[in-house]
Amino acid sequence: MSWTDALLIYGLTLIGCIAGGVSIGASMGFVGMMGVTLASGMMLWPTFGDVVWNTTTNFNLVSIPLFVLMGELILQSGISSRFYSGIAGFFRHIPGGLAQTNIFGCAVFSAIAGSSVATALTVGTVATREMRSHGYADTLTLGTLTAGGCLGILIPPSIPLIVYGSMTQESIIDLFMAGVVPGLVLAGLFSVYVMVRVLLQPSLVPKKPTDKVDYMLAAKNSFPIILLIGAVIGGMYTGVVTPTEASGFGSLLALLLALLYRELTPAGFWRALRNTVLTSAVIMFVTINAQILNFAIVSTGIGHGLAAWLAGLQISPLLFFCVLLFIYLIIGMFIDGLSIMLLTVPLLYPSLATLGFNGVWVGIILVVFIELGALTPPMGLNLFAIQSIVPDRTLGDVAIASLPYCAIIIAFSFLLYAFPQIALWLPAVMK
Amino acid sequence: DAEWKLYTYFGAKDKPTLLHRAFAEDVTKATGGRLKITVYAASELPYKASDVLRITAGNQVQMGDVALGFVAGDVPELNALSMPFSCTSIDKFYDKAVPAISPVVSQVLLTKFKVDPIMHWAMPPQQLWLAKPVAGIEGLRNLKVRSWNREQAEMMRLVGGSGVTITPAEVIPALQRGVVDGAFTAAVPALDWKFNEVTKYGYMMNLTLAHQVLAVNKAALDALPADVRDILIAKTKEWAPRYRSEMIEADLVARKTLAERGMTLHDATPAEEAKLRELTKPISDEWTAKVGDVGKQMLSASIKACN
Amino acid sequence: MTAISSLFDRLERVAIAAAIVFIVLMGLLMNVEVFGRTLFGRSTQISDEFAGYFFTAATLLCLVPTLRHGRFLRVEAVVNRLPVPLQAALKFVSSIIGAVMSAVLTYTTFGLAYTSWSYGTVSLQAFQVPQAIPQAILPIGFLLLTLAFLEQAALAILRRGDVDAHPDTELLQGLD
Ligand code: NA
Ligand code: NA
Repeated sequence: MSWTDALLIYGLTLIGCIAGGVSIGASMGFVGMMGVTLASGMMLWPTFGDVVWNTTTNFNLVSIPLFVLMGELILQSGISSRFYSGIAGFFRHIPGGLAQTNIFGCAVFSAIAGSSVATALTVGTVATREMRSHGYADTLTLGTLTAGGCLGILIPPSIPLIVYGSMTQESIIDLFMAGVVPGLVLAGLFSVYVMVRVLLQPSLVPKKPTDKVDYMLAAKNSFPIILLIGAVIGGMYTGVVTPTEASGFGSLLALLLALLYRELTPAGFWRALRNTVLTSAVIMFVTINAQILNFAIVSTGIGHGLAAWLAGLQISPLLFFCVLLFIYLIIGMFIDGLSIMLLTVPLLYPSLATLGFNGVWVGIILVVFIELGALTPPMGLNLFAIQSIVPDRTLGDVAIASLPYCAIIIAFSFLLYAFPQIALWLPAVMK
Repeated sequence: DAEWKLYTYFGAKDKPTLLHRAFAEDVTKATGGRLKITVYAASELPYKASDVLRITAGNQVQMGDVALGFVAGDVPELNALSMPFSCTSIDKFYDKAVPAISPVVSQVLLTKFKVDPIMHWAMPPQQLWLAKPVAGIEGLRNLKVRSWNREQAEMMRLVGGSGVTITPAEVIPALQRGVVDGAFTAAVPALDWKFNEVTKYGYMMNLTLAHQVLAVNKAALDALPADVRDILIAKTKEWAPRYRSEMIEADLVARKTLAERGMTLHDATPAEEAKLRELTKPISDEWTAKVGDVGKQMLSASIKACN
Repeated sequence: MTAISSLFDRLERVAIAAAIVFIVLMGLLMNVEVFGRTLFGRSTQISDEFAGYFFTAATLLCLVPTLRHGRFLRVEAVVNRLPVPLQAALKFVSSIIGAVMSAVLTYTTFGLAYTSWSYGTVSLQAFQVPQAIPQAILPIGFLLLTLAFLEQAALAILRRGDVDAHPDTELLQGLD
């Protein structure tokens, strides 16, 4: 079977399964197993066992449940509602109000978390309920969270950048530095979009209260969260904890804060723990099966076929960039970000280097492409993350709310293409 | 015609992967395409370093780059070269140790795993890379060092410091932020991972070589036509010296480059080395007590060959 | 069928409680590592390794509860527009696909644990944990998941139109 036939069969089966209501994880696992079996019978089946074991014991993924737990503890203890009522005062004059805090919160939280799912889940856990109670429309809230989550892998630390660095031998320190400015610019773009959207469609946000804000009280109420995030970032940058350990450390601090404020009931604590294990199981089920599909794509030669085809294209760098963007957009619809990195970098990096693209810049642009993939259905991990905390909304609702941000990310990738210095400036001045 | 997969846990651009690719291409060419070997690097297939022996045994890949140190969980008795200072010279490894120990290795791998080690090679010695310079062995006291196996952790404990386990992906950030004071690895990966950006000082103590074998699934090997199999075996004989010279060269280049990029590389003095040997002796004593005759025999043969 | 379903109901409460214990242990261990390293310069040597085992166990224990509460991520836009009998048929087919997939994982993860057991594989770290022990949870978890998918398939036939057998009321409490 040629790689194009294989690609066609996989694609159609996957779409059929997903549209027919098979869960997304099971669809990917099933298609992956089918592909491997068609290509080589049962010979490679034992690898499914290796995939499961190597995924669930991966120390970087271990941070997911603990970051969720941290968010749940903040939520169940009422510290988050304090924070939102506090921070609302500061944001009341900015169009979008609390919706801006989601983006701001994700940007800050990105400095702790290395994955976009952890970022979206932690901030989302806290934010969805608070935003609803303040009267914000879900259509606005959900998008700010899925998009804000993307910042998690652009602003360091970033697991995909570590993976990219280890595969290409680009400096991980340079990659981390290169992610900072693009992360902030992208956060800024998201924020501007929210402002414009709210000015055009004021019904999305509650009417501004007319009474004066007590800024002292507001500061006091937002203090615990700022303390928590400050302590975790501090712990990481002073070498007390590694990026993964920051999740466990943060959960402990969140628990201490919750006990300090005496608002965490035993029932609330139990609910936090139960939501944590169930949410992580949902995410892991998808992740395991995405890895199985990824294995099928590698072992049946689709990956190599596509890469060879790309390398053979005789087109200008800009056109090549557009083709690349398109391919990642499509791949991103079906595979999760980390798998995309693992799958495509070994295949595409050589041809990108030949075309004269800077290796650090490529790392950043790939992360941006991956972010795009995290927001596009059917396989969009950020969509899943947010939907797993608002099960009363459909995946479609979450996807539609995220659509405008996809456009922003695409536009931003062209900005990065035109001005590579957005990424490359900071690592250069840090030398 | 046979199509084989060769899996290596090294990265796509790492020196050993490049050697494997060149070797695979040469075999493919020499057999006129009748044996086509495709090399898969780390992350191209979902296996870890410690899986390589098992996936080769299970014919998930036909050929694996097996690090005996990483498969010590499966074959502890073959892990002799992970004992500190058992063999620290690449030349002696090839000239004397391999002839002495390869029959033992073959016997164990063939009987237990039906896997044939058709070529032995070595990664250059493990060194200690530190954020700050230290004054001799005494300076290692109270240092936290990332170690990836029990022997390294135990060595740090014996010199008064501490071994710390950190997942590979977090080693660089951990060094940068001072979660640990240093890490063990060979000069070649230290350069590949740009240790010069996060550490200042190389304590070149030549702790251990990493003993590697290119292992082939026995059934897959037996299934080859006799002439193709002969070409493959002949190619391993031709390539072993190339792995040797290229890894020695790479080690020299890596040391030189790291020094040019601002690192201080300190070669352990004979006195320091003697002291370290003495301090770390309990590690191999404990190991030999556990692994039985095969291990004992392998360790004493290596020590005799290399010292 | 009701007996089987109520057995699952009880089983999943135990599973969630056990998963919570594992996640708490994981968090504790990570913090012991952090404090031991920072205050006493000593590493547990097992933090990353055991965190992996605990997370594996917690994940596998929660697969059945997440399936039965309808939390696995699905695209329902197409299915919901179909006539009810067809929905039930699709629910049946998709549950069977899920069952096939998890049956394959049961078989292959059993093979993984069995291989580790027969080779006597231990971990490289200080405690030299026999790998078959933490790996044994994998086939058990996927076997239960296979049965739970078959339960869903059976329910799809028995209840025909009434597709959502377990509305997620309990789990929604945290979000109202
Ligand atoms: Na981050
Ligand atoms: Na996507």
